[in-house]
Amino acid sequence: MAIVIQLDVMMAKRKIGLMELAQKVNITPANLSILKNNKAKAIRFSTLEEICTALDCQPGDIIEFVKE
Amino acid sequence: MYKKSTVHFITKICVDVLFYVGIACCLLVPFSSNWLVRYFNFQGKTTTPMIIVLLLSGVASVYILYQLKTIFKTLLVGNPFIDANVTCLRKIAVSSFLISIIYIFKCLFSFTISTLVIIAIFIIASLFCLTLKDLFKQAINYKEENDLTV
Repeated sequence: MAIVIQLDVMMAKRKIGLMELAQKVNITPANLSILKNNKAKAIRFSTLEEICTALDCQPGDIIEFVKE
Repeated sequence: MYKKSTVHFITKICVDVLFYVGIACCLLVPFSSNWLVRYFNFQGKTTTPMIIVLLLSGVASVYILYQLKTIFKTLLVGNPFIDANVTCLRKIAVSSFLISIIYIFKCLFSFTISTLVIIAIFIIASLFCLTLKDLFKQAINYKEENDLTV
């Protein structure tokens, strides 16, 4: 996959768990797990905004483009 | 979210009743051949092929109803957009086409206008099911994309 989600790295840096982040971002842990495991096909700007707010980071810290 | 509808419930009951009546009719064909000969006014040579046509088209119809039952089961659960239903629709299309072929064969020894109508209806039904199958496939893709959008 060309777009890689680095959410787990950022979560580890901020020492925050999946359940806690899901609660802060206001989405289900199942959906957050889909995102974390690179299974998601798309991400809403609103979700991205809330994740960046909760983790105090930039979208580029979570999403990375890898050339295949 | 699936909203319970009386229409779905009534249609499911109709499909169920037709399915069991269809099975009973198919099973009774070998035993009711004398009655069938009198009722449909079959002539000597055409009796056996006509009974075979009725039996084969009956089996194909029961198969179609079975596939419809499967589709309705998923609809009533609230999850109709699955790959299994695409396969069901493909099977219904094939069965409908088979019935039209059986009746084309029937035209060779007993031609009637109503047989032509049956052939046309089942060919159209087959094409309609193939279109519906593609629609379902597209809907599954949309659903998957929606489910995997966080």
